Formats: sequence, structure tokens, C-alpha cells
Amino acid sequence: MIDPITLSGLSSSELNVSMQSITSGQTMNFGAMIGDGVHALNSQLVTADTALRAYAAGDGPTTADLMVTMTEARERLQFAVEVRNRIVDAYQNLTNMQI
Amino acid sequence: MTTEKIMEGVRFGLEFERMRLEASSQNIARANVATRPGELTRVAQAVAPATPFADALGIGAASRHPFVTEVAAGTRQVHDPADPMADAHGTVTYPEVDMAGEMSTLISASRSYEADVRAFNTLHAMELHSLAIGEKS
Repeated sequence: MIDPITLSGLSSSELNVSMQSITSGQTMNFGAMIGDGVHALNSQLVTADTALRAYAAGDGPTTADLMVTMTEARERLQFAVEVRNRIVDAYQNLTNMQI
Repeated sequence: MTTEKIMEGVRFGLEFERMRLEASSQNIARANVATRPGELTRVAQAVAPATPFADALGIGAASRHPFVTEVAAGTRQVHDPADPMADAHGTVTYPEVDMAGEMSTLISASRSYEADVRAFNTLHAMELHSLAIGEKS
């Protein structure tokens, strides 16, 4: 089982802010947005993991279904990694700024 | 997300082609199996369910899955009184299976499956490429 990904720096109330409040033009909570994304990614990874386990046990989805699910999950993970890369990039840009 | 819609379509296509293959191989397998006298002859057929009206309105979330069903078929009569399945007139009844047709269905299903996989792979490659937009080289 893949361990759930948690963000230690964010409180649970922050993570529970729905996308609704973000898109409705209220205060844009960047941490909540990232938290939501991580939650969605995690649930997709867990879905893929569950499907793989069921397939290995012999009573799961078809091979094609499994591969599609796993590819989707991998795509999401790569997207998350790319987002993380951009954030780190931006952070480094700020830290290297001359004042 | 549009990508998910395409994924859903590809999933459906893969499943349907597999069902078509299943129906065809079932028909080929039972082409030379005699039916009991007085029993209806049947052949398998893959069916893709139509979109429900509620679905088209966007109020139903019913998932569509193709399935294999059985339809009535013509018969092929062979005179063979020695066969235990023969009727009172010594005629054995087989389902009428169009072998050439079933073989072309097999090939067509296999090719369509390949096309589905190719579509999926192309979409995946495009997604990966789009992740590289704005990347520092």
C-alpha cells in the first residue's frame, strides 16, 4: 500500500478548503490549492495501486484497463513533479535576488 | 478535463473491441457443435449500448459497458443418422456461422484495438510534451 502523502507544514483546516473558495474570487490560498492537488494525486495513486493488487490477485480489471489506470496515475505524478520543479525554480529565483 | 473524456473513450473502445473478439471466437468455437433437436440455434454478438437519454441531458451518471449477447441464428442441416444429436429424420442441426465473416471480424477487432492503443499512446506522449512547455533547455 502506498502511504498517503501528507503536507506537514499545513494544518488540516487549511487542507480542507475546497476548490470552490479558490475559484470564487475570495482570498487565493496557495497552500490549500497545493494541498488539494496532492490529495487528488494521492487518491489517484491509491486507485492505481488497488487496481494493480486486484489484478495480481486474479479478480481485478482487464489488462488494458489496468494499464490505462496506471498510465493515468503516472501522468498525474509527473505533472505534480513538474509543478514542484517550477515552484522550486521560482523559490530559487527569489533567494538569489540581489537587494 | 478533456483528456479524461478521451481516456474514457479509449477505455470504451478497448473494451468493445475485446468483446467483439470474444463474440467472434465464441462463434468460431461453436460453429461445428450440433444443437439439440428442437433447440434454437444462437450466435454471440457484441453490443455497444446506446447513450441513455438521461445521460445526454447530463443528469444520469450511468456508466456504459459493452457486452456480449446471444442472437437467433440460421441453421446448417447435415444428414448424419449416426450422430447422437440427429433428429427423427437423421438430420443434425448446426448454427450457421459465416467463417469468413468471423475471421474478418477477428482481424478488424485486432486492428481497431491497435488503433485504440495508438491513440492512447499519442495522447500520453502529447501530455508529456505539454509538461515540457516553458522548460529551460
